[in-house]
Amino acid sequence: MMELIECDDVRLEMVEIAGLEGMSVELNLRRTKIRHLQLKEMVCVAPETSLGETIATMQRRRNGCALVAAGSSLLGIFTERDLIRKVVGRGRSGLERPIRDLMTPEPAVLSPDDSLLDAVRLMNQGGYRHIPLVDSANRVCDCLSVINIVDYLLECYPQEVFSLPPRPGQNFSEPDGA
Amino acid sequence: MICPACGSYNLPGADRCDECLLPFTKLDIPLPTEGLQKRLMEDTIADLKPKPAVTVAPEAPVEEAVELLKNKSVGCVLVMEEEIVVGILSERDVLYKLGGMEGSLGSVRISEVMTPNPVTMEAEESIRFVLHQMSVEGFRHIPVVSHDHPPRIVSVRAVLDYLQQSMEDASAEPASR
Repeated sequence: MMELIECDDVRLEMVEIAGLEGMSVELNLRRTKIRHLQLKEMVCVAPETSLGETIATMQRRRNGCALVAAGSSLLGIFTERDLIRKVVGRGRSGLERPIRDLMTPEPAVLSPDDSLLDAVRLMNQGGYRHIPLVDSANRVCDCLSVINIVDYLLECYPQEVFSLPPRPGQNFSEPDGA
Repeated sequence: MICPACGSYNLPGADRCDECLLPFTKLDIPLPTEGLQKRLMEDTIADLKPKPAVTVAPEAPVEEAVELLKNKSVGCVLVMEEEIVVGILSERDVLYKLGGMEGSLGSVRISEVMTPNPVTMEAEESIRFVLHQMSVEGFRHIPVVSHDHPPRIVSVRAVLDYLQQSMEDASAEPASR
């Protein structure tokens, strides 16, 4: 068991952890590191990128959060929340302004080697939905979103959650294929 | 599988017993055991403590909704027409549909940018439906409606809170294994 957890084959490890019966979810969360999750590719822009371009990138990549970094060092984060708070409905919104002026500077970060439990705690504590991941050399490498954690937890319960009909009370009178 | 009623053998995956016609589908539903699994099976949406929804009318200008999102610190507003939920307007809709707009939002109405006819749930339903919707569809907010309550919203943040809470409860219990 322990060898499996320590070995580098992440996929094998995920299968193993999710499949362990009788193992508490909390233990899973403690052991699983953030780098084991399959994260969506992050949106990362330079600080002098214009607001308009940043928004267009977020729309194109279907991502509610953009990291702002100079080279590989993280400067800030720009999320949907910032957009609502600082941009939309402010008369002339000024799509030319650099994102540097609108981002939230110095966001809370985690390392990909931190556990999922750390991430859950930090998110609950700070009310964050996105946490940038920064490696030991302070290079920005990914962005963890709250839905990644919910997804991870649910993967431990495929039968309970994913075998449900999408809505309550949706009963199928005929078995599939009949 | 062996039919629990008459003991005859059936092909695995059969929907009912060939001999006595006992339906097998109910037997597929997992039984609650312990910890988070038990809570997932037994808790209802009400246990996520849905918050009262901020509501707007569909013909209101979209600026009003944006103001509400901003000032009430909520992630979405429910669009209601005569006590019926007709749409939902979330931060995501604002990003996708208003993000690149230059200048004022002027004449845009909420009904033009909202997500119409969102999936709604009732507070008595199992919590698993909410989790399923959020994970599969990627919704971060789900309206909870009922006859005797104003509409409420459960958000992904409430889910995260609930998950952390149930894990802490589980570790506070004396270790049973």
